Amino acid sequence: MNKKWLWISLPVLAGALLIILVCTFFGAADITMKDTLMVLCNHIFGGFDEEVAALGAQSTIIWRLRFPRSILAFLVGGGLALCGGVYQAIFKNPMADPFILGISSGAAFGATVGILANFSTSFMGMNSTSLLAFAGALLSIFFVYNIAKVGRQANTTSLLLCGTAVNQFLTALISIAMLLFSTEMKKIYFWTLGSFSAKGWEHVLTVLPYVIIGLLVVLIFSKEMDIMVLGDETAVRFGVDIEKNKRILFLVTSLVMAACVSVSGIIGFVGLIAPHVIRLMVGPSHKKLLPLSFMLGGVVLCICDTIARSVLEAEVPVGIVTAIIGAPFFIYLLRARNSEVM
Amino acid sequence: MAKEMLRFENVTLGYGERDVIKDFSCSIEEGEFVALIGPNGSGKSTLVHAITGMVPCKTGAIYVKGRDNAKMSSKERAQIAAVVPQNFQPNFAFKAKEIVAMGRHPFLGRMQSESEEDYRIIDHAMAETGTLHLRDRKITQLSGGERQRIIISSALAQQPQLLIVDEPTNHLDIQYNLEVMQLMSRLNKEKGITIFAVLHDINMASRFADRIIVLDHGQKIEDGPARNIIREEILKPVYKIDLVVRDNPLTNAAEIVALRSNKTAKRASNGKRVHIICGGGSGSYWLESFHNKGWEVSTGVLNVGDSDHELARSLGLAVVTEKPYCDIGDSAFDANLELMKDADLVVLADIDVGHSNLKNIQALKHVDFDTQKLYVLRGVGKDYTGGEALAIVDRLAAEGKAVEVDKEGLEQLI
Repeated sequence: MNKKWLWISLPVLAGALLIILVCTFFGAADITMKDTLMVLCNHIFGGFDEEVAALGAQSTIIWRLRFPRSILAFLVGGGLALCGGVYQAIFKNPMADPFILGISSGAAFGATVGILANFSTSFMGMNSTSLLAFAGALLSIFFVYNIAKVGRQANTTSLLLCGTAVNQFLTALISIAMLLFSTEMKKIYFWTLGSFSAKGWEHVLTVLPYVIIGLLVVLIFSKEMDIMVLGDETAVRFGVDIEKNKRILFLVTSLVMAACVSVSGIIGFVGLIAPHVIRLMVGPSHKKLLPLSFMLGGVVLCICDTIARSVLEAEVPVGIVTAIIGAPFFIYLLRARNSEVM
Repeated sequence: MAKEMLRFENVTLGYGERDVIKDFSCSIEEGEFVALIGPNGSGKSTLVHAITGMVPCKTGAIYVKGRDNAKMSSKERAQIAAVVPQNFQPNFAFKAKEIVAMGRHPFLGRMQSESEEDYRIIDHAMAETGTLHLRDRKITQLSGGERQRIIISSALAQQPQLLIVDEPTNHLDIQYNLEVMQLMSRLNKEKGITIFAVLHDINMASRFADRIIVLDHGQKIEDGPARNIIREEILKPVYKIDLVVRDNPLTNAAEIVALRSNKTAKRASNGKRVHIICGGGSGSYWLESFHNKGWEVSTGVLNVGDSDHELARSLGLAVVTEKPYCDIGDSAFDANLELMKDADLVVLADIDVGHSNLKNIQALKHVDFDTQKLYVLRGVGKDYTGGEALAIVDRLAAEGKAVEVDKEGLEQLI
C-alpha cells in the first residue's frame, strides 16, 4: 500500500515542482532558464554567489518576486482545492464550492474596511487589509454556522441558505462602501477579483503553516469523509459522529480559507473544479482525492497566475483568468456529468 | 433465560409536534428473529431511526444490551448493532468493496488501516450475499438489487450481534428477496445474530420470523409468536383489507391472501342469493365475486380442507360440509339441496366430478329449474363417473333448464 503510494506521490510532487520552476521562468523581464535555475540554486544550496551577483536586478526579480509568488499561488490554489474537496464531502454535493458559506464576502467586507481605514498596523506578516479579510472570513463562517445550528446539529440545507443570505447582505454593504468612497472603488474592486501582485516571501510564510497543517489534519479525517458523503444515515450506521467531524472540518477549513483569501482576494473555480477533476480520475476516496486535489489546485493556480502576469501588457487579476478558463470547463463537466462519473 | 439485546421503554418519537410512535415498549432477547409489521406510515422506520439515534426519544428510553442508547456514541453502537437502511442511493462512485469495508470503520482507530483479518471479514461478508464478483464495480453503476446486497454485506462486515433491517427487500426481485430473507434466517439460526426486521411483506414475516410485532398508528397492537399474530381478526382491522389466512404446507407457515381493500363503504346487499356448486378451487373466483357484489352466497357440499371450503369459511358464507375424503352423506345432501332450492340462482362451476361428489350433480335433478335458473360453466372439468354426471347436465340443458355460460357471460349476471 505504502509503496504504491510512493510511486504515485513522487512523480506528482516532482511534476508540481517542475511547473513551479517553469512558472518562475516566465514573466515580463527576459531572463534565461539557466539564470533562473542558477539564482534559485544559489539561494537554496549556495555556490553561485559571483554569477548571481553579476545578474543584479534579474536575481532580485527571480528570488524576491517571481519565485515566492509562484509558491504562494501554489499554496493558495492547493488550499482552495483542499477546502473545496472537504466542503463537497460535508455537503454531500460534488458541486459545492469553498466560498459557499459566505467566506468570500466576509473576507471582501473585511478587506474593504481595511482599505478604507488604511491602518498601518500589521501582525504576523499581514497588513491591515489582510488581517481584516482574515477576520471577516472567519466571522462570517462562524456567524453562518451558528445561525444554521439547531440544538447540536447544523443542517446542511440551512447552512447553504444562511451562507447565501450572508453573501448577499455583505455584498450589498461592499457596494455601498464602493459608492460612498469612490476614490477607493478601484482598489476594493481589484481586491475582490483576486491577485498575487506584489506578494512576497512574507505572504508565503503567513499562508504556509495554515495550509500544511490544514492538509495534514484534514487527511486524518479522510475515512470519515468517505462515509459522510454517503449521507447522514450511512454515517450513523458506521459509527461516525457527524456533528463532531463537521465541526472540526469546518474549523480547519475556515482557517485555511481565511488565510488564503486574506493574501489573494477571491479566486473562484479552483476550489470547485480541482477536486471534481480528481474525483473523475481516481474516484471519491478522500485519502487519494484530497492530496491530489491539493496538488492539482496548486499547479493550476500557479499556471493561471503566470498567465495573469505575462499575457497582457498590464497584469490581469488572476481571479479573472481562473473564471475565464474555469467557467467553460465547469460547464463541460456539468454536461459530462450525465454519465456515471460522479 | 436468554439475555436482553434491545429494549424499548415507553418510547415516544416524533417530528416537531407530531408523535409518530406513542408509548412503545418491547424487549427483544438475544437470538430472536423479530419482525415489525404494519401499514405504511405506522411508524416502523421511525423506530429504526430511533435506534440509530437519528430520531431522539421524546420520552422513554432505548437500551442496547442494557446500555442507554442515548448515552452511547455512534461508534460504540455500531460495534454491536448494524443497520440495513431502506434507501441508499449514493452520489459518489465508490467501489463496492470500499462500501463494504466501511463496515469495519467502527473497529478501526483513527488513521488505522484495515488488517489482513479485516479484509478477510470483508470478503466473507461479500461472499455471504454473493457479491464478490461485484467488488471492483462502482456502487453507482449497480442495479438496485445488487446495491442492496452490497449494503447488507457492509452491515455483515460489522459482525453485528444485532442486525436491524428496514424493509431489506424493497428493491429486490423475488429471487433476491427470498435469498435475503433466507440469509437473515441463516445468520439468526447459525450465528445467533439477533434480527429486528421491519418487513412490509406479511408472508415473509410469517415464514421467517419467530415473533411478530404489529404496529398501527404508532402504537403496538400485537406482539407474539408468528402463528398467533397471522390471524384474520388481527390483520384485517390493521390493514383495512379483506384477507384470508391459510396454512401453506410448502413453507410450513401461515400465509395471507389479500382479497380487496375494505376501506371503501361496505358492499350493499342486493337481497339475492346464489348457490355455487364447486370444489378444488374451481369456485373460489365466483364465491369471491358474487360475495363482493352484494349477493348472499352459499355453497356445498364441500369436503373440509378443500380450498374452496377454506375460502367460503373465511368469507363467512353458508357452506355445507362433509368430512375430508368422504363421499357425500345423506344429511349433507339434504342440507345442500335445501340451500339450492331456496337460491335465486344456482351456478355449477367448472369442476371435476368423481364418485365422491357425484351427489352434488344428482341433487340438481331434484330442483325445479323452471322458477329459478341454473348456470353451468363448462371448461376443463372432467367427468370421472363414466358419463353419469355429464348425462345429467346434458339432459337439463336439453330441457332448457340449464344455461351454459362462459366466464364473461356469468360475469354479466353478477
